[in-house]
Order: sequence, then C-alpha cells, then structure tokens
Amino acid sequence: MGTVLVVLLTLAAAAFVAYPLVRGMRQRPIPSVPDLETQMAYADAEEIELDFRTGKLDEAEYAALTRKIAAAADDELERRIQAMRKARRHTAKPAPAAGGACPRCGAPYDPGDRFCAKCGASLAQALVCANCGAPYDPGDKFCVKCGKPL
Amino acid sequence: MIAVTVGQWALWIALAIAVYGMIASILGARQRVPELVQSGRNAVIAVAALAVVSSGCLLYLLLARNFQVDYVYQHVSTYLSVPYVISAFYAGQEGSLLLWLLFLAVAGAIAVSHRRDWNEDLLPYVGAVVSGVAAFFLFLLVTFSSPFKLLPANPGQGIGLNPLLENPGMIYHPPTLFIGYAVYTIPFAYAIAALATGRVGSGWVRGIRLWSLFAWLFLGIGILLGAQWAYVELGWGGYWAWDPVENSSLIPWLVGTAFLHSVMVQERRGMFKRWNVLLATLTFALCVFATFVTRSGLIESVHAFQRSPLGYYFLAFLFIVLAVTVALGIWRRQELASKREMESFLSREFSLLVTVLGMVGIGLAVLLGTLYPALAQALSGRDLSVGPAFYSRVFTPLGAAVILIIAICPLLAWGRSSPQRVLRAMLWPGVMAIVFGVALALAGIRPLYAVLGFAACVFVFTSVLVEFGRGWFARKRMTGESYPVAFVRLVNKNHRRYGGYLVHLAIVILAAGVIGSSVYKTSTTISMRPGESMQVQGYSLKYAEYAIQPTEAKQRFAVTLDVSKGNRSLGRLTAEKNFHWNIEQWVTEVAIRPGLVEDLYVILSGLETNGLATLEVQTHPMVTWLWIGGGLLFVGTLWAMWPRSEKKRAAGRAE
Repeated sequence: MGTVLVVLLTLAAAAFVAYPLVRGMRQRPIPSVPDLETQMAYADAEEIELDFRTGKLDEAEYAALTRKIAAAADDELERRIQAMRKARRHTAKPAPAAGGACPRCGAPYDPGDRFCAKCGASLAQALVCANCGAPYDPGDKFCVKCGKPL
Repeated sequence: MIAVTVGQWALWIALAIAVYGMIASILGARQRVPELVQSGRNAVIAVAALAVVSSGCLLYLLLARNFQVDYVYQHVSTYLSVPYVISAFYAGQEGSLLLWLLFLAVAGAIAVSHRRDWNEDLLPYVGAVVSGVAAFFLFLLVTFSSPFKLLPANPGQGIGLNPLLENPGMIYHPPTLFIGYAVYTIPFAYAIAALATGRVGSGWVRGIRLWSLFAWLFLGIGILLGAQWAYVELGWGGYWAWDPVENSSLIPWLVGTAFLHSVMVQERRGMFKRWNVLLATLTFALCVFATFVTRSGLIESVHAFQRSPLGYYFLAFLFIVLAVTVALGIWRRQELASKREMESFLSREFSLLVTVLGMVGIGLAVLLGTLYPALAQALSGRDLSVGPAFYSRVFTPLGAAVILIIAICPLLAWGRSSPQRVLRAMLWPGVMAIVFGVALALAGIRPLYAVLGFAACVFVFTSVLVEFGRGWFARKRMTGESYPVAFVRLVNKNHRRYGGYLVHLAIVILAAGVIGSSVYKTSTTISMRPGESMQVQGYSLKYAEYAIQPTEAKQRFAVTLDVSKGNRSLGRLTAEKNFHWNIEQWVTEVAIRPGLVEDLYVILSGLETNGLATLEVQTHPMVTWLWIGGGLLFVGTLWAMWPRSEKKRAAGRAE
C-alpha cells in the first residue's frame, strides 16, 4: 500500500514538472503593473509635496525640486515619444482593409458594407460564386451551393 | 507505517525535484528556453506540495502517537495534550528542519507564481535559489536528520515533551520565528536574481518590499513571543538573558531592519545598491546561522537541547551563500555603482545611512558577543562567557543613538534640509523631553542615565506625534476637510509613511519598557509559613494554602498567595516548582500579576512538607510596555504592508 502511494506520488510529481517540456509553452499574458519608473516619479512628487506642506522644505527648495522632477518628466516623455516614433518607422505600413471595390463606380468599401457609400449600388449582388453564380455573404470561404472555394 | 514510507519518500522525491528545478531554472533562463523555465517553476511548486505531504505524514504520526517512530517517541507521551502534540512537530531538530523547509517551499511557490512584467526575467533565478536552499534542507532531512527513523519495536510510551516547552509560548513562538527565517529566503533569492541578470536597479527592491516586511514582522513578533515565554516560564526573572539562541534570532532582525531602511534609499535615490544586495544576503545568512546555532549546540545555551554534526553542513552552506553573493557582486560591480552622490549630511539619505550602520553595528556586536565564547574556546582552549554586562555596555550607547536617529530621520527631507528648519521641527519634542526629564528628576527618579533615557523616549515620541500632526493640519489646510476626515484620509493615503511612524512609536514604547524593567527591577527573598502575612515592595502577601501532590507527569509543589495593595485585593497567585519524571529535573512555574506600572512576579524557590515556603518576590516595572509595543509594532507593520488599490492610487494622484 505504502509502495503504491510512493509510486503514485513520484509519477504525479514527475508528470507535473515535465508537463511544460512535453506540452510546450502556451504563452499566457503576464499581468502588467504600471511601470515602476513612473510609479516612483509619482511617489517622489507626492513626497516632495507633503514635505513642503509640512514645512520640511522651504519655498525655494520646493521650487527647485519640483523643477527638477518636471525636467526629468519632460526628458522621459521626450524619450518615450522618440521611442514610439522609431517603433512606428520600423513597422510596415498597415495593409489596406480587406473588402473590395464597388463593381459599379470602383470606390473601395469595407467588409460588411451592404451598399456602396459613393454610388449607393447594392454590394450584395457583387458577391456571386464564380463557379455556379449563387450569391454569398462577405466573409464566406466556400460556396454554400456548390462547395467550391470562393 | 504507510505514513512513514510516504513521508520519507516524499522528501527523497522532493530532493530530486529540487536539484532538477535548480538546474532547469538556470539553464532555461540562460539558454532562453521558456519550457525549461516553466518546468523549473513547476518544480518549486512540486517541492512545496511534497513538503506539505511529508509534514502531513509527520503530524499524523504524532497525533496517532506512534511511538515506534523515534521522533514521536522522543517528543510525545500518552498524557501530552493535543495542542502540545502538534507543537511537538518542531520540538526537535528533525521536525524543525522540516518546518523550515515547509515554510520556505510554500513561500517560494507563491513567489514564483507571482508573475509580473517587472520580474519576468528575475523569476527563474528566484526559483533556482529557492530550489537550491530547499535542496540543502532536504539533503539534511533525508541523510542526517530524518524525522521518520524507526525504533526496532514500539515502546508503548514516549519520553514526551521537555516540560520547559509545555507553555503556550511553544505553540506560537517557534513557528512565528521560523516563518520569519524561511521567508527571508525570498528577498535573498531576488538579490541573487538581480545580480545574475544585472538588473540591480530599483525593480527588485520595490518588488520584494512586502516579502521583507512580512518576514521582518514575523521575526520581530517571534522574538517578542520568545521573550514573553522566557519571562513567564523559565524562572530566570527576565524576558531576555542574552542567551546565544535569543541573540541569534535578534541579529537577523537587526540586519533586516537595516535592510528595510536602506531599500528606501535605493527606491528614492538610486543609491545603496551594494548595501541592499549585501543586507538581503546577510539577513538570510544570519537566519540560517540562527537555525544552526539553535540546532548545533555550538554555543552552550538553554535552547541547545541537542548536539549534532549538522553544524558543519550549515557552515558549508553559509560559506556557499556568501561566496556566491560576493562572486556575483564582483562580476556586477559596474551595475552596482551608485549614480548619485550624497548631497548633504543633513538629509534623509544620510540619516538613513546612519540608521543602517547603527543597526548593522549593533547586530555585529551581538554576533561577536555570541561567537566570542566559542572562538575563545577554539583558539585558546579557555572557557569564557560573555555576560549581560558586555551587552549593556555595548547596547546602551548604540541603542540610544538609534532611538535619537528615529526622532531626527523623519524630520529631514530627501536631498538636503536647512538646519534652521530641522531645529524648528525639533523645538516641541525638545521642550517636551526637557520638561519631562526635569519633572522626573525633581520627583526623585534616579539614576540619571535612566532619566535621560526616558527623556529621549519622550523626545522621539513627541517628534513622531508632531509628524502626524503636521501632516494632518497640512492636509486640513489643503483640502478644507474636517479634522477627522483629514486625519483618516492622510494616514490612508500613505500607508508606508504612517505605518512606519506607528512602528517607530512601538519601538519607543519598547525602549521605555526595556529601560524601566532593567533599571528598576527589585528582588526580595522571603520565607513564610501557611497563614502568615508579609509586606514586600508595597504589596501585602498572605500565605493562603500549599499543595504537594504527585501526578502522572510530575511531583507538584505549589503555594497560593492572596495579594493586595493598600485596601485593594489583587487576587490570588499560585507559584509552582515541579519535579518532572521524564527529564528528572525541576521546572519553575512563575506566578505573575501584570500591571501597567509594574508586574508582581513570584518564584517558588523551595517548599517543605510542613508548608514552610521560600519565595522570591520580584517587581518588574514596565514589562507590560513591551507587549503593548509589540502589539503596536504588529499593527504598524500591517498598516505599512496594506496595499492600496491601483484605482485609489490613481484617484490620489488626481487630487
């Protein structure tokens, strides 16, 4: 009885530890906290404010410290804007939205539109199966009538 | 015997998994294999589960009073009541180590499950360190110190718990202390992780704040519970005897206090990075050292119930811990360099540096005093002991310095403060301290150094109250809220600051209690016959009755006194001195009448068959203040730990 339990215990523990290796990783999102630098800057500002209000700092010291924090915050903002700009330059232009052009006037339309925004032509008619001619809904992958891929 | 098999094997399996987990976590982090990292994390959780299984087995064996198990035989008997049977879990070395492992593994499992974006890179190393430490304890548990060893036959009756341990203190004190010790592994693990990844910035110190506060709180409360136990049970006539084991639990608490303070400087100013890594490691190492001192019998002490070769393994482990930290620290010396300079001596950061140095200094002095007898014995072969005289000589000036720094530090601003402002802030506390000191002196209170000590306490107490007051009135002026609302919102808006101030108040109350009880203790030895009355230290004691009777566990000797002061009856006190069969020794049960001003403390020294009793009647002034201070310490730390929700934080900012 004891031996059986020990074997079961060993197997269970080994299985639990080995599971990620066998199954591979399923990336679960990691909870995020507001980034620490920002949190600390806020805490710093709160602290200085309270120190001033309780008379530990005089006007001039308070002004100097606040200026320092503001300058640091400006620098940080500038840095972040630059980083975002850089990131945007690096990513490719967004792909044009899937949809199509109006068969009558050629104006582009978004997926899900039923009528052309420019000429008012019904767009539902534009969607017909190339094989059998049956109409289909935007987003369908196969013809409901003949089963051919659309 | 299933529980023996399962309990023992659970430890073996856990050892294998812990070793694997350590390797998997480090490999996974270095080679960037997320599967391996996840497997390492699961290993930490599995070790915790196995520790729970093994502990459950031991607990079951104790409760079933299975005397064939050596550990049960040593610590339990058929007439031991259930709460003490449960506490027998950690009455000996084997169970204590298992309890350490249990707390460590559970804390580690919680730590590695707490994934946030800021610690994602650190966690694998945290897991590796937790696994490594767990592996050390598991190694001891399966090799030298197994709680599941069997006797050849079932003796039918056990030796039972040492009667000194049969006190409610036994139920609360050791586990509280052990939680503190074990949880300090997490800050240490983060320190190592920060060094290993090179991310020694403020992320890790901020992330472990709750862990280190939690460990610090349990360690502190554990020490106080131990002091209380010593006070009521051991008949030493005191709560603190500078016993090596008491000392060894105090040292990590002192260094942990230094750590709590130095962390603030890194968070706020980005300085003290080296200090923080060092203090986190040192605190953990000293926790391990404390376990080692208790369990090795290296230094003679009332606590060292056993001697074992375990000490060498502990020393080797400590050496590895320190060597790894130092090596990593040298490797990361660039990152550990401070980017900012200290701007002024009159600043919060400088006064915190003094605090850190003071706490570490006291810690080292106590460590030296604790180790000195053993070192002297090893080096010169002479037996030496370091008595309370040494400690009071070292402790008094350093303690006074620390008390004063508590008053001054919160008054200073970060960066720099102007001297005039600091002096103005110290005006009221100074006036109060002088008035109080002069009043005490005029009232005839002596000696003068005690009066100075109380005045210093008043100085600190007032300065903390003034700090509360200034924040309160400033908030009232700013917001126009009513006084009560402004106060509640103020302390609720800044848990850390005001929780910290409450702890400072608690420390001052503790300090006053220590001064009062160590300076004004009185002791009178009297001899009484049944029916007689006597006046001692303003109390009248009437000998009501006595009892001499054998029980299953002991021969009981008890004297009951009716106590009154003036015309007021203070009730009955029963002092006992019992001879316990299982250890063949006398154990004293002290009778105490606690009071806010002083405790009446009666020890039965001897009782003859005709009822003639020799009693030691002591008064211990202000001991109750220690317990009040302890309670406030608890509340203040909890307040400082209590999280504010992000929503409230955002609302606070918008104000």
